[in-house]
Amino acid sequence: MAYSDKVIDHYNNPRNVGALDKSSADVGTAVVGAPECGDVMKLQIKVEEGKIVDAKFKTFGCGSAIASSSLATEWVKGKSLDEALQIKNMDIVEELALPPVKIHCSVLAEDAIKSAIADYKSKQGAQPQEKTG
Amino acid sequence: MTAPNTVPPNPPAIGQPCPACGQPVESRLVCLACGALLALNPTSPGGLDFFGWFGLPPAMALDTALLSDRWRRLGFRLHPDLHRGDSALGPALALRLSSAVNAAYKMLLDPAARGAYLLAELSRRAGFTPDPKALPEGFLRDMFNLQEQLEESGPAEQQHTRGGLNRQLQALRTERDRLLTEALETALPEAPALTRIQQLLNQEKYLVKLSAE
Repeated sequence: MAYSDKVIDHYNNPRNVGALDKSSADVGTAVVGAPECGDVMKLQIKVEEGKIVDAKFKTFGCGSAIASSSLATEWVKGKSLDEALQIKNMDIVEELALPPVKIHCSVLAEDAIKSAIADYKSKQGAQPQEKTG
Repeated sequence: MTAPNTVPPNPPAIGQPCPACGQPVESRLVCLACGALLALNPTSPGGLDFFGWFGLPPAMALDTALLSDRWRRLGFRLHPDLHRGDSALGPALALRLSSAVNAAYKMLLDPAARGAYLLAELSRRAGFTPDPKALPEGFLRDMFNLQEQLEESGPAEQQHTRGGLNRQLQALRTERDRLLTEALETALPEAPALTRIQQLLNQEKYLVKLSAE
Protein backbone atom coordinates (compact mmCIF):
# COMPACT_ATOMS: atom_id res chain seq x y z
CA MET A 1 0.00 0.00 0.00
CA ALA A 2 1.40 3.40 -0.97
CA TYR A 3 1.77 6.15 1.59
CA SER A 4 -0.62 9.11 1.32
CA ASP A 5 0.75 12.53 0.32
CA LYS A 6 0.30 13.76 3.88
CA VAL A 7 2.36 10.89 5.31
CA ILE A 8 5.09 11.56 2.76
CA ASP A 9 5.03 15.28 3.59
CA HIS A 10 5.45 14.63 7.32
CA TYR A 11 8.10 12.01 6.62
CA ASN A 12 10.15 14.33 4.39
CA ASN A 13 9.56 17.45 6.50
CA PRO A 14 8.89 16.21 10.02
CA ARG A 15 7.66 19.00 12.31
CA ASN A 16 9.13 19.53 15.77
CA VAL A 17 11.89 16.94 15.74
CA GLY A 18 14.14 17.25 18.74
CA ALA A 19 14.18 17.12 22.49
CA LEU A 20 13.16 19.27 25.45
CA ASP A 21 14.85 19.30 28.84
CA LYS A 22 13.71 16.06 30.38
CA SER A 23 14.57 17.16 33.91
CA SER A 24 12.54 20.38 33.72
CA ALA A 25 9.42 20.36 35.89
CA ASP A 26 7.23 21.79 33.11
CA VAL A 27 8.24 19.13 30.56
CA GLY A 28 6.39 15.82 30.26
CA THR A 29 8.22 12.97 28.51
CA ALA A 30 6.83 9.78 26.99
CA VAL A 31 8.68 6.88 25.42
CA VAL A 32 6.26 4.39 23.91
CA GLY A 33 6.62 1.45 21.56
CA ALA A 34 4.74 -1.04 19.42
CA PRO A 35 5.96 -4.62 19.74
CA GLU A 36 4.21 -5.54 16.45
CA CYS A 37 6.80 -3.58 14.48
CA GLY A 38 9.50 -2.65 17.02
CA ASP A 39 8.92 1.09 16.57
CA VAL A 40 9.98 3.37 19.42
CA MET A 41 8.63 6.92 19.80
CA LYS A 42 9.64 9.71 22.19
CA LEU A 43 7.29 12.64 22.61
CA GLN A 44 7.77 15.60 24.93
CA ILE A 45 5.52 18.49 25.84
CA LYS A 46 6.30 21.77 27.57
CA VAL A 47 3.44 23.15 29.62
CA GLU A 48 2.92 26.71 30.79
CA GLU A 49 -0.17 27.76 32.73
CA GLY A 50 -2.06 24.65 31.74
CA LYS A 51 -1.35 25.05 28.01
CA ILE A 52 1.05 23.04 25.88
CA VAL A 53 3.42 25.68 24.53
CA ASP A 54 5.93 23.39 22.82
CA ALA A 55 6.20 19.78 21.72
CA LYS A 56 9.09 17.73 20.32
CA PHE A 57 9.39 14.19 19.10
CA LYS A 58 11.81 11.66 17.77
CA THR A 59 10.63 8.36 16.33
CA PHE A 60 12.56 5.33 15.18
CA GLY A 61 10.11 3.54 12.97
CA CYS A 62 8.24 3.45 9.68
CA GLY A 63 6.95 6.44 7.73
CA SER A 64 3.49 6.18 9.27
CA ALA A 65 4.87 6.19 12.82
CA ILE A 66 7.02 9.25 12.06
CA ALA A 67 4.09 11.04 10.40
CA SER A 68 1.71 10.15 13.26
CA SER A 69 4.06 11.55 15.89
CA SER A 70 4.92 14.61 13.80
CA LEU A 71 1.22 15.36 13.40
CA ALA A 72 0.62 14.73 17.12
CA THR A 73 3.19 17.39 18.09
CA GLU A 74 1.56 19.87 15.69
CA TRP A 75 -1.89 19.19 17.09
CA VAL A 76 -1.06 19.38 20.79
CA LYS A 77 0.70 22.75 20.56
CA GLY A 78 -1.50 25.53 21.89
CA LYS A 79 -3.99 23.10 23.41
CA SER A 80 -4.84 22.74 27.09
CA LEU A 81 -4.05 19.36 28.64
CA ASP A 82 -7.72 18.40 28.60
CA GLU A 83 -8.04 19.36 24.93
CA ALA A 84 -4.91 17.37 24.05
CA LEU A 85 -6.34 14.32 25.83
CA GLN A 86 -9.31 14.50 23.44
CA ILE A 87 -7.10 13.66 20.43
CA LYS A 88 -8.00 10.16 19.31
CA ASN A 89 -5.94 7.84 17.18
CA MET A 90 -8.75 7.68 14.61
CA ASP A 91 -8.40 11.46 14.08
CA ILE A 92 -4.78 10.79 13.07
CA VAL A 93 -5.81 7.85 10.87
CA GLU A 94 -8.31 10.10 9.10
CA GLU A 95 -5.96 13.05 8.68
CA LEU A 96 -3.09 10.92 7.29
CA ALA A 97 -5.31 8.40 5.45
CA LEU A 98 -3.48 5.51 7.13
CA PRO A 99 -4.28 2.02 5.84
CA PRO A 100 -5.61 -0.58 8.34
CA VAL A 101 -2.19 -2.22 8.79
CA LYS A 102 -0.79 1.11 9.99
CA ILE A 103 -3.48 1.95 12.52
CA HIS A 104 -1.20 0.82 15.36
CA CYS A 105 1.12 3.74 14.46
CA SER A 106 -1.67 6.19 15.28
CA VAL A 107 -2.43 4.30 18.50
CA LEU A 108 1.22 4.77 19.42
CA ALA A 109 0.95 8.54 18.89
CA GLU A 110 -2.21 8.74 21.02
CA ASP A 111 -0.48 6.68 23.75
CA ALA A 112 2.49 9.04 23.57
CA ILE A 113 0.32 12.16 24.10
CA LYS A 114 -1.47 10.56 27.06
CA SER A 115 1.74 9.26 28.58
CA ALA A 116 3.56 12.61 28.21
CA ILE A 117 0.65 14.40 29.91
CA ALA A 118 0.63 11.78 32.69
CA ASP A 119 4.37 12.26 33.17
CA TYR A 120 3.94 16.04 33.37
CA LYS A 121 1.10 15.70 35.89
CA SER A 122 3.07 13.28 38.07
CA LYS A 123 5.99 15.73 38.04
CA GLN A 124 3.67 18.52 39.14
CA GLY A 125 2.32 16.35 41.95
CA ALA A 126 5.82 15.37 43.08
CA GLN A 127 7.37 18.78 42.51
CA PRO A 128 7.95 19.92 46.13
CA GLN A 129 10.15 16.87 46.84
CA GLU A 130 11.76 16.73 43.42
CA LYS A 131 14.60 19.22 43.00
CA THR A 132 16.84 17.42 40.55
CA GLY A 133 15.21 15.57 37.67
CA MET B 1 -18.26 -48.85 17.73
CA THR B 2 -17.17 -46.16 15.31
CA ALA B 3 -17.89 -46.64 11.67
CA PRO B 4 -15.17 -45.57 9.22
CA ASN B 5 -15.28 -41.91 8.19
CA THR B 6 -17.33 -40.66 11.11
CA VAL B 7 -15.47 -38.38 13.48
CA PRO B 8 -14.76 -39.79 16.97
CA PRO B 9 -15.82 -37.55 19.90
CA ASN B 10 -12.22 -37.03 20.99
CA PRO B 11 -9.20 -37.55 18.79
CA PRO B 12 -7.20 -40.56 20.00
CA ALA B 13 -3.91 -39.83 21.75
CA ILE B 14 -0.74 -40.31 19.73
CA GLY B 15 0.03 -44.03 19.50
CA GLN B 16 -3.57 -45.11 20.19
CA PRO B 17 -5.38 -47.05 17.42
CA CYS B 18 -7.20 -45.11 14.72
CA PRO B 19 -10.98 -45.78 15.07
CA ALA B 20 -11.22 -46.32 11.30
CA CYS B 21 -8.20 -48.50 10.45
CA GLY B 22 -6.72 -49.56 13.82
CA GLN B 23 -3.21 -48.30 13.02
CA PRO B 24 -1.43 -46.29 15.76
CA VAL B 25 -2.30 -42.63 15.34
CA GLU B 26 0.56 -40.26 14.37
CA SER B 27 -1.48 -37.09 14.02
CA ARG B 28 -4.52 -35.97 15.99
CA LEU B 29 -5.94 -34.24 12.92
CA VAL B 30 -6.06 -36.96 10.29
CA CYS B 31 -4.97 -40.60 10.40
CA LEU B 32 -1.78 -40.69 8.33
CA ALA B 33 -2.37 -44.39 7.59
CA CYS B 34 -5.94 -44.23 6.22
CA GLY B 35 -6.84 -40.55 5.90
CA ALA B 36 -9.79 -40.61 8.35
CA LEU B 37 -10.60 -37.29 10.00
CA LEU B 38 -9.81 -37.53 13.73
CA ALA B 39 -10.32 -34.01 15.12
CA LEU B 40 -13.86 -33.10 16.07
CA ASN B 41 -13.74 -29.37 15.36
CA PRO B 42 -10.57 -29.03 13.32
CA THR B 43 -11.32 -25.45 12.31
CA SER B 44 -12.73 -24.03 15.57
CA PRO B 45 -10.27 -21.80 17.45
CA GLY B 46 -10.60 -23.92 20.60
CA GLY B 47 -9.81 -27.06 18.61
CA LEU B 48 -6.56 -25.79 17.15
CA ASP B 49 -4.15 -28.26 18.68
CA PHE B 50 -1.22 -27.44 16.40
CA PHE B 51 1.34 -29.67 18.12
CA GLY B 52 -1.18 -32.52 18.20
CA TRP B 53 -1.81 -32.16 14.46
CA PHE B 54 1.82 -33.16 13.95
CA GLY B 55 1.79 -35.72 16.76
CA LEU B 56 4.29 -33.73 18.80
CA PRO B 57 4.24 -32.79 22.50
CA PRO B 58 3.71 -29.07 23.16
CA ALA B 59 7.23 -27.86 23.90
CA MET B 60 9.84 -25.30 22.86
CA ALA B 61 12.28 -28.09 21.97
CA LEU B 62 11.19 -29.32 18.56
CA ASP B 63 12.08 -32.38 16.46
CA THR B 64 12.07 -30.49 13.16
CA ALA B 65 12.83 -33.59 11.07
CA LEU B 66 9.77 -35.35 12.50
CA LEU B 67 7.68 -32.17 12.12
CA SER B 68 8.63 -31.88 8.43
CA ASP B 69 7.97 -35.58 7.81
CA ARG B 70 4.46 -35.36 9.35
CA TRP B 71 3.78 -32.12 7.46
CA ARG B 72 4.55 -33.79 4.13
CA ARG B 73 2.40 -36.81 4.95
CA LEU B 74 -0.47 -34.62 6.19
CA GLY B 75 -0.28 -32.69 2.91
CA PHE B 76 -0.65 -35.94 1.01
CA ARG B 77 -3.53 -37.19 3.19
CA LEU B 78 -5.37 -33.87 2.86
CA HIS B 79 -5.24 -33.69 -0.91
CA PRO B 80 -8.82 -32.75 -1.92
CA ASP B 81 -8.91 -35.33 -4.74
CA LEU B 82 -8.63 -38.13 -2.16
CA HIS B 83 -11.77 -36.94 -0.37
CA ARG B 84 -14.46 -36.89 -3.06
CA GLY B 85 -17.50 -38.65 -1.63
CA ASP B 86 -16.05 -38.61 1.89
CA SER B 87 -18.87 -37.63 4.29
CA ALA B 88 -16.76 -36.45 7.26
CA LEU B 89 -13.92 -34.86 5.30
CA GLY B 90 -15.02 -33.58 1.89
CA PRO B 91 -12.75 -31.88 -0.65
CA ALA B 92 -13.61 -28.36 0.54
CA LEU B 93 -12.75 -29.12 4.19
CA ALA B 94 -9.64 -31.02 3.10
CA LEU B 95 -8.46 -27.95 1.21
CA ARG B 96 -9.11 -25.67 4.19
CA LEU B 97 -7.32 -28.02 6.56
CA SER B 98 -4.44 -28.35 4.17
CA SER B 99 -3.80 -24.59 4.20
CA ALA B 100 -4.31 -24.50 7.99
CA VAL B 101 -1.68 -27.26 8.32
CA ASN B 102 0.74 -25.27 6.16
CA ALA B 103 0.25 -22.17 8.33
CA ALA B 104 0.68 -24.22 11.54
CA TYR B 105 3.85 -25.81 10.14
CA LYS B 106 5.36 -22.42 9.34
CA MET B 107 4.35 -21.08 12.77
CA LEU B 108 5.86 -24.02 14.68
CA LEU B 109 9.18 -23.70 12.84
CA ASP B 110 9.59 -20.09 14.04
CA PRO B 111 10.76 -20.15 17.69
CA ALA B 112 9.24 -16.74 18.50
CA ALA B 113 5.86 -17.71 17.01
CA ARG B 114 6.05 -21.13 18.69
CA GLY B 115 6.72 -19.41 22.01
CA ALA B 116 3.77 -17.04 21.52
CA TYR B 117 1.49 -19.98 20.69
CA LEU B 118 2.64 -21.91 23.77
CA LEU B 119 2.12 -18.80 25.91
CA ALA B 120 -1.47 -18.53 24.65
CA GLU B 121 -2.01 -22.19 25.59
CA LEU B 122 -0.50 -21.61 29.04
CA SER B 123 -2.65 -18.50 29.53
CA ARG B 124 -5.76 -20.56 28.82
CA ARG B 125 -4.63 -23.19 31.29
CA ALA B 126 -3.86 -20.59 33.97
CA GLY B 127 -6.96 -18.46 33.31
CA PHE B 128 -4.68 -15.43 33.13
CA THR B 129 -3.64 -13.48 30.03
CA PRO B 130 -0.66 -11.17 30.43
CA ASP B 131 -0.75 -7.64 28.98
CA PRO B 132 0.20 -8.18 25.32
CA LYS B 133 2.45 -5.10 25.40
CA ALA B 134 4.19 -6.05 28.66
CA LEU B 135 7.81 -4.86 28.90
CA PRO B 136 10.24 -4.47 31.81
CA GLU B 137 10.37 -0.99 33.37
CA GLY B 138 12.72 1.29 31.43
CA PHE B 139 13.14 -1.08 28.48
CA LEU B 140 11.68 1.29 25.86
CA ARG B 141 13.85 4.13 27.18
CA ASP B 142 16.91 1.89 26.80
CA MET B 143 15.85 0.97 23.26
CA PHE B 144 15.40 4.63 22.37
CA ASN B 145 18.83 5.54 23.75
CA LEU B 146 20.39 2.61 21.92
CA GLN B 147 18.81 3.76 18.64
CA GLU B 148 20.16 7.27 19.14
CA GLN B 149 23.57 5.88 19.98
CA LEU B 150 23.57 3.75 16.81
CA GLU B 151 22.49 6.74 14.76
CA GLU B 152 25.32 8.92 16.04
CA SER B 153 28.19 6.43 16.15
CA GLY B 154 30.70 5.37 13.51
CA PRO B 155 30.93 1.94 11.87
CA ALA B 156 33.37 0.42 14.39
CA GLU B 157 31.30 1.53 17.34
CA GLN B 158 28.09 0.36 15.61
CA GLN B 159 29.54 -3.08 15.14
CA HIS B 160 30.45 -3.20 18.80
CA THR B 161 26.90 -2.17 19.78
CA ARG B 162 25.42 -4.80 17.47
CA GLY B 163 27.61 -7.47 19.04
CA GLY B 164 26.16 -6.50 22.42
CA LEU B 165 22.64 -6.58 20.97
CA ASN B 166 23.14 -10.09 19.63
CA ARG B 167 24.39 -11.32 22.99
CA GLN B 168 21.39 -9.70 24.69
CA LEU B 169 19.09 -11.37 22.15
CA GLN B 170 20.70 -14.74 22.79
CA ALA B 171 20.26 -14.34 26.55
CA LEU B 172 16.59 -13.37 26.12
CA ARG B 173 15.90 -16.43 23.99
CA THR B 174 17.57 -18.75 26.46
CA GLU B 175 15.48 -17.32 29.30
CA ARG B 176 12.31 -17.48 27.15
CA ASP B 177 12.87 -21.17 26.39
CA ARG B 178 13.69 -22.01 30.00
CA LEU B 179 10.62 -20.23 31.43
CA LEU B 180 8.29 -21.74 28.81
CA THR B 181 9.62 -25.21 29.53
CA GLU B 182 9.18 -24.71 33.28
CA ALA B 183 5.65 -23.32 32.88
CA LEU B 184 4.62 -26.21 30.61
CA GLU B 185 5.67 -28.64 33.34
CA THR B 186 3.53 -26.77 35.89
CA ALA B 187 -0.11 -27.77 36.42
CA LEU B 188 -1.15 -24.18 37.13
CA PRO B 189 1.36 -21.70 35.66
CA GLU B 190 1.76 -18.54 37.74
CA ALA B 191 0.84 -15.08 36.47
CA PRO B 192 4.30 -13.49 37.06
CA ALA B 193 5.98 -16.24 35.04
CA LEU B 194 3.53 -15.75 32.15
CA THR B 195 4.01 -11.98 32.25
CA ARG B 196 7.79 -12.44 32.15
CA ILE B 197 7.45 -14.74 29.11
CA GLN B 198 5.29 -12.12 27.37
CA GLN B 199 7.90 -9.46 28.21
CA LEU B 200 10.67 -11.61 26.74
CA LEU B 201 8.68 -12.24 23.54
CA ASN B 202 8.12 -8.48 23.18
CA GLN B 203 11.72 -7.56 23.99
CA GLU B 204 12.86 -10.03 21.36
CA LYS B 205 10.80 -8.23 18.70
CA TYR B 206 12.38 -4.86 19.49
CA LEU B 207 15.88 -6.32 19.51
CA VAL B 208 15.36 -8.24 16.26
CA LYS B 209 14.14 -5.04 14.60
CA LEU B 210 17.11 -3.10 15.93
CA SER B 211 19.75 -5.64 14.95
CA ALA B 212 18.23 -6.00 11.46
CA GLU B 213 18.59 -2.29 10.66
